[in-house]
Amino acid sequence: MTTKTKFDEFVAKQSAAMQPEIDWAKKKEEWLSFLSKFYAQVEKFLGKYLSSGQIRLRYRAIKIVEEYIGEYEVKTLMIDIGRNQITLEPIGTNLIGAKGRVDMNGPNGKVKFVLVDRNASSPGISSRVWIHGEEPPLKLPEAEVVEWAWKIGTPPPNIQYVELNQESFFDALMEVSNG
Amino acid sequence: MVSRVSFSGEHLPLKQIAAHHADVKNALHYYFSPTSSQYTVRFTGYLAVEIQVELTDRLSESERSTILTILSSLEATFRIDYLQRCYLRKKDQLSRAFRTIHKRYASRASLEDEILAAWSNHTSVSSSLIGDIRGAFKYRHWLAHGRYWVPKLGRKFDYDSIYLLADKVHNEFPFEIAPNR
Repeated sequence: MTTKTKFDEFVAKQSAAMQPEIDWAKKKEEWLSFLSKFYAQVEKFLGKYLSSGQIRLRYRAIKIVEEYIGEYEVKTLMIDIGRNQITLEPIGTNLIGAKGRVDMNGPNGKVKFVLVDRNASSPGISSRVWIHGEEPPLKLPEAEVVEWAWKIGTPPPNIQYVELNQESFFDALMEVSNG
Repeated sequence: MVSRVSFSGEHLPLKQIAAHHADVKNALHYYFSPTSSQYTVRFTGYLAVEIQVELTDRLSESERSTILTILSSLEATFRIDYLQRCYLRKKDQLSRAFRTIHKRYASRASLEDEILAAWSNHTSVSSSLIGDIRGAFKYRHWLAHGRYWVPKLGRKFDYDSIYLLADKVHNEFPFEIAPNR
């Protein structure tokens, strides 16, 4: 490899290392805004049962501590269906592979709601690592997320992102309940 | 001359670890449910909420054990690749860097200080991905050494996120794999 090629790589590496500073306050606000939208969606899904009084919702404030963001308050949502109590518990925003997560906990298990790329159906591969001086692999499509959406993340090893709609939400509720 | 490491062929694939974890999780749910034949004996005198709390504790511990296994498997992948690149005497920049490390440390090279640093310096791997891997190994260090201090990890790590990270690394890194035994 010539000195010039080596220098090109050196400059590219140094430039790539200069990542923009993360605005943690903005990241937190965005996450809280998506969380509010998630709860609004849940209330809409359950609207009929809330009106009839068959299901009751209660919000409770809890504290979350995340590194770089610090301590902040979020709301958990408790869903009472008969004797079943199901909780929607916000986990945070500084996560691998997702912009946010809320866990649905019930007596029969847990379902995870993840805030991910609206177009993604699974985590997928965003890039391939190649060794300097070798032929780079074929460029994969840009991994930039243009729109975020709440989806249900199935557990490993076959992680899939299932569309969140009234039907999938009801399935999740029944899965974690004793029903 | 430094002797070669004999690969055992026993390091676990990620999917096998996840399958084992899923079985343990399902077995715990069953054991803590009224359908279990042990239920009335095991939980005599318990409130329903106490059973729930105990189940949550068991599941949480099971997740942490699995995380240790996943990260140990990931370390094995990095170390096998490191040794293979040295043994195969490949000509690429990363293999050359590994041979320099091997001359000094042989199989005792530090994962974080030498092996990951070489990946960072000689490949296109992003600094954020290397940061996540380092954070995950810090978490493993905390688990493996008794969790007696408050860790500063930068991110929240749990079973799902560690699995995602390990899967990503396996899919995106051009690892040299161990030869068949």
